[in-house]
Amino acid sequence: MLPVFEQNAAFIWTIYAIGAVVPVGLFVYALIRARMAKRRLDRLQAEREQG
Amino acid sequence: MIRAFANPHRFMALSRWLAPACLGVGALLMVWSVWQGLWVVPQDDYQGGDIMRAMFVHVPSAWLAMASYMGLAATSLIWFVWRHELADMAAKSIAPLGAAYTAMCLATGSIWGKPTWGTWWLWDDARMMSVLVMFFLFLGYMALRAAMETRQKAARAGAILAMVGAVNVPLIKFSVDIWSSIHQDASVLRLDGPAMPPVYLTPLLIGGLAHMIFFAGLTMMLMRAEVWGRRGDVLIARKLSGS
Repeated sequence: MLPVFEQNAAFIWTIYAIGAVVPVGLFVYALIRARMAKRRLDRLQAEREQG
Repeated sequence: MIRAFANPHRFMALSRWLAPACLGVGALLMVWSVWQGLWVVPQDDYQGGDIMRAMFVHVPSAWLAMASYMGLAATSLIWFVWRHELADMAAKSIAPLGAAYTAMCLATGSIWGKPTWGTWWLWDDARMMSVLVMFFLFLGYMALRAAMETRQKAARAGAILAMVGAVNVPLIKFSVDIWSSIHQDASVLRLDGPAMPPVYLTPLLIGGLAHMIFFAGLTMMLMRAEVWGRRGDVLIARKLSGS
């Protein structure tokens, strides 16, 4: 159950939403970068092996 | 010791399990810190009631913003002195993460400031302005690297900017003591010990540690991507040269 704040609830929830979105967003960004780089390397290595 | 750890093969073997471990542990500790901040810690009427719960997001992001810039400057210095490519990859990886955490610090601080001080932003506040300068330093670092023709030029120009910009970090820390600021004086990192009850201090410190561990995991992920990217570049160069 979500906590109920007497005052400034909108400010508190917005701050915690930013606190969740930034780490999750950075994780997704890093994951995409890593997967793209690995996929590119695998493709180049496969091309090299095929001559 | 730096040479021993600056081997990309050793780094890839180590980071293969260390990066997900850091991300997992960091995420778990972050969830614990958020649970403490929202559900467990009592509201502090002296600090404005419930809005002080913003501290458990804003303060760790501020610590991470400064720590990431110090990391950027330190890895830049290592590259500049010893030319270890892994240090340059670390610096390049830290920059976007540090920029995001600095933006998070500015945004959460601004939102916290409105109900507490009655304003979103103060242009003559030394703490706010020095953090804003750090945000622009991160952006400038990335823009400068992107503008260079070769990787070596990008590393050199970026390293110089990162090292020169490091002077801003102590200015952020001591800005509240040196200049006028609406921010309160330091309440955790003080010579005479923290001026905060353990009920607030413990989740705050755990939250800071959580973000640092998570940040380390993200940095390793991006460094792995950079290593793969550079290995790919080598294969393309070999293909073009016909070797």
